[in-house]
Amino acid sequence: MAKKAKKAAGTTLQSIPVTALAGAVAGAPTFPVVVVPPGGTAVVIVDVGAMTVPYTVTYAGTVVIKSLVDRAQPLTLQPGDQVLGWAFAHLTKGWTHTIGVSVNGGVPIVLESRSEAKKDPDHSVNFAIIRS
Amino acid sequence: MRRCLTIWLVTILVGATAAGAQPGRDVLLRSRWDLAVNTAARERGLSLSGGVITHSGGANATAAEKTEVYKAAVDRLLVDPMLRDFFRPDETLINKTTPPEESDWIKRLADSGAGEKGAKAVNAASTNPSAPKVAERSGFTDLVALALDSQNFVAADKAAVSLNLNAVALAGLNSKTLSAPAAYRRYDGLRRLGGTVTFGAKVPEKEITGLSGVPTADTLFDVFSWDVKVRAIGDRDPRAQRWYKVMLGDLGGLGEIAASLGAFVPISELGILTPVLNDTLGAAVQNVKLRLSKSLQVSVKAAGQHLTTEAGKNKYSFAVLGDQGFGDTDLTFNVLYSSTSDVSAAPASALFTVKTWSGAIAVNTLVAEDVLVTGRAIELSLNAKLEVPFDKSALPVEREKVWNVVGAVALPWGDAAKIPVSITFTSDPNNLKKEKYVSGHIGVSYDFGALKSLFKPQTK
Repeated sequence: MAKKAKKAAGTTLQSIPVTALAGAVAGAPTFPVVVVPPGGTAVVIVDVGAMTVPYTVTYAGTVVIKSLVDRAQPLTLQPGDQVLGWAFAHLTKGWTHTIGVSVNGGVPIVLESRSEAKKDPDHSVNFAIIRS
Repeated sequence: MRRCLTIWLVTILVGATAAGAQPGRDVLLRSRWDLAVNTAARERGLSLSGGVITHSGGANATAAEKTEVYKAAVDRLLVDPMLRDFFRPDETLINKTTPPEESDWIKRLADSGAGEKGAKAVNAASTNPSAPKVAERSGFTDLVALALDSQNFVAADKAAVSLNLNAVALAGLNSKTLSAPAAYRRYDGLRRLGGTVTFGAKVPEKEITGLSGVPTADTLFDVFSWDVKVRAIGDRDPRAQRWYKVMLGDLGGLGEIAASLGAFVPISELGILTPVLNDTLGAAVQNVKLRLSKSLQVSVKAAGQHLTTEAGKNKYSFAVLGDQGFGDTDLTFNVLYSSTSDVSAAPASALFTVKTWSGAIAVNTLVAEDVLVTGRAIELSLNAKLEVPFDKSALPVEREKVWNVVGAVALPWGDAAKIPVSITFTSDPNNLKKEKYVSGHIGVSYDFGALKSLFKPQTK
């Protein structure tokens, strides 16, 4: 389950493997692993519809974004495997949210994209691993 | 879980004093989590080894045991007075917009193919008033939502065309840059105002005059009607300022804690912690939705009906409309005064004015969930209406109080269909002409259309 980053105009990209980290229990959720090459950068990006509850994005246990609108924030990377977490709660009609990570300025890797139109649950707490 | 959420809400309501993130919140949260999870494990005869929940002999605890410990630890965190600061509403978030320098990143994410911006759902159905209910709901937030999406200014069916005045007034006022609460607050006054104009409706004379005993009672007239509704008390829209504490504080704080906790357990345990956190946030969202939908909302309304093909019989009405929830039951109430001028009992006879006070009440509740269809309940409703003639001495015809009571049940069928059955009991049998079966003062209506699916071939 690996994805290759696409090449954006004017940007030199490196291979960005995303693997699924299996849960400890059968049937438990799996978590994507985003690998950032040594010396690389990562930007977490969030695209939302109308929000009445602020969503939160954390990295290594620290809040990176808490907002009601679209945001993008670079991560201050720490060595090893660190947890990127997010939580969304929706109460408005037509809600949407997408969260992704761009590594080294490349095409964002979508970690989660949900919407009312797709009949997704109206809330989400989830995690990914940033390996650097 | 419900009890714990209630305790959590009470605790943070008591503790709220200021807003804003502070340095060291993550350090505080981690220490309180460590304490909570250690305590929860110890209470169950378990312990932690390298962050992993284990038995005293060192063997790994089962997934069920770990889940139980994490649930208890999360519940403990939500009522921890040391964490009250997380649940204080940060109203500065409302006025924040996306920094211009971040826009390019967001566009890139949207261009990656995952963007959902164009997939917004239609928010409400027709505003055509040609299907009146005994008691009218007080709200019009769906109309406002429609207006903000600049959709459905006009609704029509075979009987009439309605123009949504909210949509006209608020067209184009939506914002692509403001947060949802900020955009809502910007036009708060306009959003309290609603209205409709309807053309081409055909209404029987008795509906206009209130006189069902005259020979022309069922004569249809072409009517132009209008109404203006002002929300006086309450607001069930989650963007409204009265819900900031719940949205920004309670749910926003819970989201922040939930998103942080993943970093405080070993990565191998994330698969067990994540469902616990989702269950907790999901239950909190459901509780808040229920609280919104049950909150008191009262509107006042003025309306007029005018005949388009002849003079007279102008009808003006003034009403108070309210909604309040109690547990699993919804209560809707209306009080209305109407006056219809230039009415005559027979052609070329003296003209007079008909004045009426009326009250209506509707109670809706859900019962027997999962009995007929899994995940669905039977809907019970009771509607009652009383019309009291006012200034009867000025009328040349006899006019009595008219009341009717409608009991209805809607039985769930399949994934979405319903089988509605209603019984009407009224003091005036003239009100029963639309019922399918009538006996004396009682009328019965039903629609077994949903049963047709029984005889359709099933496809997989």
